[in-house]
Amino acid sequence: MSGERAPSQRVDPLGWLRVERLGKPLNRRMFVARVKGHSMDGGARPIEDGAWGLFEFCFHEGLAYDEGRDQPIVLVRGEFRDPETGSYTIKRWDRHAPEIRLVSLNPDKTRFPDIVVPFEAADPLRVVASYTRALGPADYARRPKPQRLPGRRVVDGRGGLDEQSARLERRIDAFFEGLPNPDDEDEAPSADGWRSRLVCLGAEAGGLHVELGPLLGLPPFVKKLRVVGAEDRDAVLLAANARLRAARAPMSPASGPWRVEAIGFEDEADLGLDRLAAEALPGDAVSVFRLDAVGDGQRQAGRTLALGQVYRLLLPPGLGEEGLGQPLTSGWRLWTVNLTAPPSPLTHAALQALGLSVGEAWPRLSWALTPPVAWRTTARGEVYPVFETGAEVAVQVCGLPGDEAEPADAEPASVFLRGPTGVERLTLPLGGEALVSLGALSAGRWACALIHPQTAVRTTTLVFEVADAAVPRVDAAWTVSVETSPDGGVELSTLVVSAPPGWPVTFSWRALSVAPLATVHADEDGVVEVSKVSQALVERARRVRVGDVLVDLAELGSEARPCDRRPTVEQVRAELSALWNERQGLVRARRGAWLALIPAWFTPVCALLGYTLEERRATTAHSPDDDPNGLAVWRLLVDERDGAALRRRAPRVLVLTEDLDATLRDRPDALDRACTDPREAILTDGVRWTLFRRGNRRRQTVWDLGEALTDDSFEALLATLAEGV
Amino acid sequence: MTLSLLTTTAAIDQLQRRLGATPETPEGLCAALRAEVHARGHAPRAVTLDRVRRLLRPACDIDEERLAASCDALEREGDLILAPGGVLWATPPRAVPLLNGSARLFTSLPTPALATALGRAPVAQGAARRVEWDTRLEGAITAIGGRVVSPETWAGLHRAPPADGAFLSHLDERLVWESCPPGSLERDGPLDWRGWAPEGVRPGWRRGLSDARLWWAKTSFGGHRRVWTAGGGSPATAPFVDLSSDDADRARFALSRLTSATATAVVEHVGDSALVELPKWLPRPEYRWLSLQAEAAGERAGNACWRLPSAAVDHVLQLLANRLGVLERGR
Repeated sequence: MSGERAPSQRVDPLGWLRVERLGKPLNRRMFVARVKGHSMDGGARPIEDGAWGLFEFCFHEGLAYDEGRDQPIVLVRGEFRDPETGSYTIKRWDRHAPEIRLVSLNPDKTRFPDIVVPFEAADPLRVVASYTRALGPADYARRPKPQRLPGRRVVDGRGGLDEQSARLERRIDAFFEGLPNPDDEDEAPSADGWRSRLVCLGAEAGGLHVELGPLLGLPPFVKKLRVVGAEDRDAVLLAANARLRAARAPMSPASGPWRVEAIGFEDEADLGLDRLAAEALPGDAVSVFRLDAVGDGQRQAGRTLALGQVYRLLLPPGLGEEGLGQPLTSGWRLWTVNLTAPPSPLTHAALQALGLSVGEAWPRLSWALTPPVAWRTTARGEVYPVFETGAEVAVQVCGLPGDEAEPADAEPASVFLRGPTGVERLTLPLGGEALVSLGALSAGRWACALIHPQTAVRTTTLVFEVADAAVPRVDAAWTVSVETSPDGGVELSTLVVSAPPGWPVTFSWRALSVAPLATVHADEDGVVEVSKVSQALVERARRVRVGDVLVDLAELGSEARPCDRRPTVEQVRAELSALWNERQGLVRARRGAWLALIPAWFTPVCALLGYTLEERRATTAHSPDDDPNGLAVWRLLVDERDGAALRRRAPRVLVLTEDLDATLRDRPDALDRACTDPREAILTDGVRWTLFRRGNRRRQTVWDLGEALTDDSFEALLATLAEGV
Repeated sequence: MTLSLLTTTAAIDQLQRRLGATPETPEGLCAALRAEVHARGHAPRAVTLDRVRRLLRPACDIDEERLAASCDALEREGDLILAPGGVLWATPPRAVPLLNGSARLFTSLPTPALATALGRAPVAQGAARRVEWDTRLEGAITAIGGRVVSPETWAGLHRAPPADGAFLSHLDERLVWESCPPGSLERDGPLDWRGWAPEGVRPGWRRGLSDARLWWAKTSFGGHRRVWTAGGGSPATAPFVDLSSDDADRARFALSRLTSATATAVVEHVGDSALVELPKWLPRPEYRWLSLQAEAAGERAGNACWRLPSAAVDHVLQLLANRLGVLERGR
């Protein structure tokens, strides 16, 4: 380059570096630069290749720069050719007529010779800056930060990679530790993480939902939560679910505001559930929900919709054009707006009429192709996907800006991937969509971000995990437990059933036949809610002495629990006394009117004695038409257990007569005919009762029911007439 | 890791490797649906369909109806459970060994995970999966939380009553014990109730029937309600009991049996096999039993078609006649 003027060279700053322990005041002329070359690697204070050096701009013409006996180290530009650095060099300045010597400190003068410039050739020399000293790691706070320009992000070069890597690393840490995202200014979490929010799913999935949780710290005595809206619209959630993860309850958009209460502890103010109250949706404005990466609509306060995103808009009655969106309840409508492509003029006009504008670009990043093997929840209730180690993970990018306007200003966005093995970047083509493979990833925590150089285009980040053996297990195990009652039966109110989550469990009552009562699906913790079924079972068990509760889990198996009930003498006496007190007048007044007295008197009395009265009136074996003087016969049926099976037998008949004494005295043959099979009859006029055995002509005990209920003969009455007491 | 742009062709290849089938085929759609539901444990059906569609969209445009039909097939097979409220649930593994040396597999567990657990790859045909069976696989099934069940236990015919008058009497008994008040399903607005008309040119759901006992309506969120009344009006005006879809299907056959318009089967013999056309709404036990005897062979004229050996036709028709009152057309 002899004879040529040294070319000027544009120097772009990399950024700012915080310097500490300098020992002298900083000024605006100071800068830090990385030294390149080995020519100054020598002497008492060597300047090594790659060291960060502190310089101060001075700009002297070479010939005029005379520091006397001092020989400062300076940054010089000239027409020379430094073997390592060209026309710029850092050397010790030695001005001594008739020459200026730029001295290398490295003792190897063969490789690193001094640069000698005679005075007559020194015009082009410029001392650009004086060197102060090298900076050690203790002298600066962090690596140089890329210079930040207004409206721009640092995405390019090593600086961009480093910056986005650090940002994504912070995002990963915050996400999995359950902390607020340090780079996200929109979130305002509560102190302990309890939160409720409104989420909008598709119309077919229920539309608007109130989402609670996770409610870490909710006392264990709270079993159920009720989300209460206006007009007594409510929904019940299991507290066990809401403690550990977000739980949702579908609600009509018209039913706000909503509050949450603990069932059974509605007056307990210290539970903190008042913090979960949610305001009603406005009745005169559209409510905006932006679809997240998993397709759930998250509520947005702003009225500006972003290009590249998909929205669900809830329209109150009377707002917006008729026919816009899908109808929901109470006149509300749900309109899904897809802005991954620029909206049509009609859509644009409809949005404007609703007070919405389409503004900033916010390209959408979502999972594609490879389904996760599991979804897990952080402590803050944020759901994230888990992929299998080695799975080829892919993401879809939509709504990239670039093609539609001002192509000269168009800049590509980039996908950054940060994980255990480092960070990687892929620059995307301009505009439209792109499908990006993240490759086959190793186990660990990862973040994938779509980042545009312009801050006007919002960033989207997906956080996920890659793990071995992450496929969830659904176990076929199930259990049935119930406590035994003092009388040897079962306490149906203590019935507890567990099954695989979501599994249908059919509850049936089995007597002589099987009567299915209800099918209940287990919840996500495998608990089967049996309270309503228990009531039906208790009612069935109350009416019969023998029966089974069947719990059927289809191909997984079934279990039968016997519910045999043997009432005590006191129980029968009490119930029969109540019945007698209520209806004795009717019995006495309507004697002989058997058809009327059967349902009102004889059926319940026989039930208390352990019999079911057959509906159909029996006839005598020898003479079907032989029924003089009001002698009417019904079979008495008893259900009893025969091993595992239940069977019904007819041990006796009920013979009704208006004159019991006369029948016993004058018509034993007729009674014999009534007792062909079975061979015993309970003979009664409603008030007086006795047992007749076929062929027996001896005097039998006759009980007056009203008297027997109040004296010691009641036990003998039961012993003779009753079954199963 | 290596970030790269994927072409549509590469995307389809990747999807095919992952699902074990071409994405648009019934096998591919079923694989995608199983994976989605099993990963989440449970999710609303409508949301699941939407998510799967979006997941596959970069590779191919999935027909919504075909995806929904695949979801219905998985639920009918037993790989997924559809609970009230329209929520799909993952299921544990159940293996049903058959006499021919294979076993049918029923679970939401994706095929790759199933293959890893069993040490051999199941073969998929539509929503059905089978594997070559030997007794050593019992331990493998148990190890992943599953059960090995006999064909009889799987079908569960012994647990389900025949579709006849006694079954309908049980429904009437439930009306006595546990009926719900009229109109109680219509807090959010009136439902479009249709009554089951077993008679006429073609049995079906009709509006405007006042004497129907079995009713169906689609709810505003896309779910279905099936109920039983005592007659004299729809559930909007008469007390009712809720029915499972299975009980409702059984009631359809029972009602048809009581009328002159019994359900029919159409049999077409082709060589050594036969194609049997049956109503699509077989109750679950009968469907399961039949699916172990025959192969699903599409649809014809709104009915489901089944292919089975000609020698087995009489046995199949006999059982369906006994249990559901289905008679062969022309007999």
